[in-house]
Amino acid sequence: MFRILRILLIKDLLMEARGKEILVASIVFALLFLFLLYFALPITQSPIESTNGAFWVVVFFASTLAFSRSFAKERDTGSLETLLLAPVDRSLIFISKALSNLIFVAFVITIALPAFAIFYNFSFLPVLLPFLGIVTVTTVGLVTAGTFMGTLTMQSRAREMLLLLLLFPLLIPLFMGAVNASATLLKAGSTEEATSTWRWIFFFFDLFLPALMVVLFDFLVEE
Amino acid sequence: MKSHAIGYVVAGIFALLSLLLFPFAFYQSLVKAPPEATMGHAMRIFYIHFPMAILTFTGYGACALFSFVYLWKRTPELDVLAVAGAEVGVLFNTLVLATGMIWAKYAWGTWWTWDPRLTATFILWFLFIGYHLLRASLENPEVRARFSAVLAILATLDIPIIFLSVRIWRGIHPNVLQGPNKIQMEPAMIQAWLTSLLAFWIFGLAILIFRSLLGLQELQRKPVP
Repeated sequence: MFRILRILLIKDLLMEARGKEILVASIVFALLFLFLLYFALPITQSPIESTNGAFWVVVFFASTLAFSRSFAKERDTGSLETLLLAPVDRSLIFISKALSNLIFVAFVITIALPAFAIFYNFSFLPVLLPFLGIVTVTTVGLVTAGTFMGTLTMQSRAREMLLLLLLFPLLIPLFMGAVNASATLLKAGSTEEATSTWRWIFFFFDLFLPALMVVLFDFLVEE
Repeated sequence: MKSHAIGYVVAGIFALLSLLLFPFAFYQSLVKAPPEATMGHAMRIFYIHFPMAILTFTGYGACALFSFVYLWKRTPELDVLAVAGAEVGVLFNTLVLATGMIWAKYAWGTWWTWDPRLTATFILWFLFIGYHLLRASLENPEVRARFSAVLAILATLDIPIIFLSVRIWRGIHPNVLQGPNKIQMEPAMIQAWLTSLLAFWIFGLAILIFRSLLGLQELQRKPVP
């Protein structure tokens, strides 16, 4: 099973690598958004809250560029049928695509986070590990739901737009959890306080929803 | 061609019943029930607002139920019933937001506050608008039915989490049925509340059935070559 997953993942990553202009575009988009938000937010009055909020908006929007192409390329070139003919469990196809999207988003965050530190004077270093923990659990939830919604909208006209409209209402609890938990962490500095109220949201988006999506994925790719 | 005579008769009876109930409900809620102690006559919009909320959930509930059964049985009729539920749901969701905003302007002095229940209702509206947009963008009827059923199930399971997450903030929406902010209702008010609920609910069910029958007839119509 892990061998098949590895093969699928190599295929997905290879596809990402061949279309690397999308990754570059996502990163530039994140930087541009960071730039714009600086003028829109009251940075001088509440630096931590504004910066934290801007960071999450940038992460959520920049990642969606990856999701809309999840299976779009396979579908457009007709290789999706070939992929589905392969004698592999279809949930593995989904997991592999989600993992490759996770790596993509991790790249974007790796660039965005230092950029925020430089341009916004974002001081997350004192709570670096718990902060990265919140980033990780949020990204896992975001990427799973994003990959699934990317599959759901792959056959639609104007899929990028539709993806945003379907994904964000679904993810509002996760977004609220991420923003509030990290804001509490940055202000209070205690991990316990930051995660206690929002723990259930993260459980839902990191465990329950992914499990459900693996099951429901079968309904999306039956041809 | 199958006829849906029984369905039309049931929907017709519901529509007639609600027509008979409405004058009674309006008399109860606009004349007989006393004005509320602090809000005065503005509180009367509650007699419309509450049934709209119940009908929103009735519509979305029907959509979720029929979507679930669709993925299992795969008959196009179930898809039609799910759409009818989602459409009626969006209609009353819009109305519950509108009536709530009118009331809020009077009671709280602002059209909108980011109160948990208001926020959650608004997110629900977005989710099911998205459902209709997804349907509109898919051409193949079988794919459309399957994909939108999956979305409806996801949206439905997300609803409790939405309510949980927005409740972590403290709300100001009155909880009329229980809790310390319970509205003290006189018997005449309770009577007005229940008759309005019944009248609107039967009316909403009639709309739901009519909409379903329309969809079923569309399904039977032969596609133009």
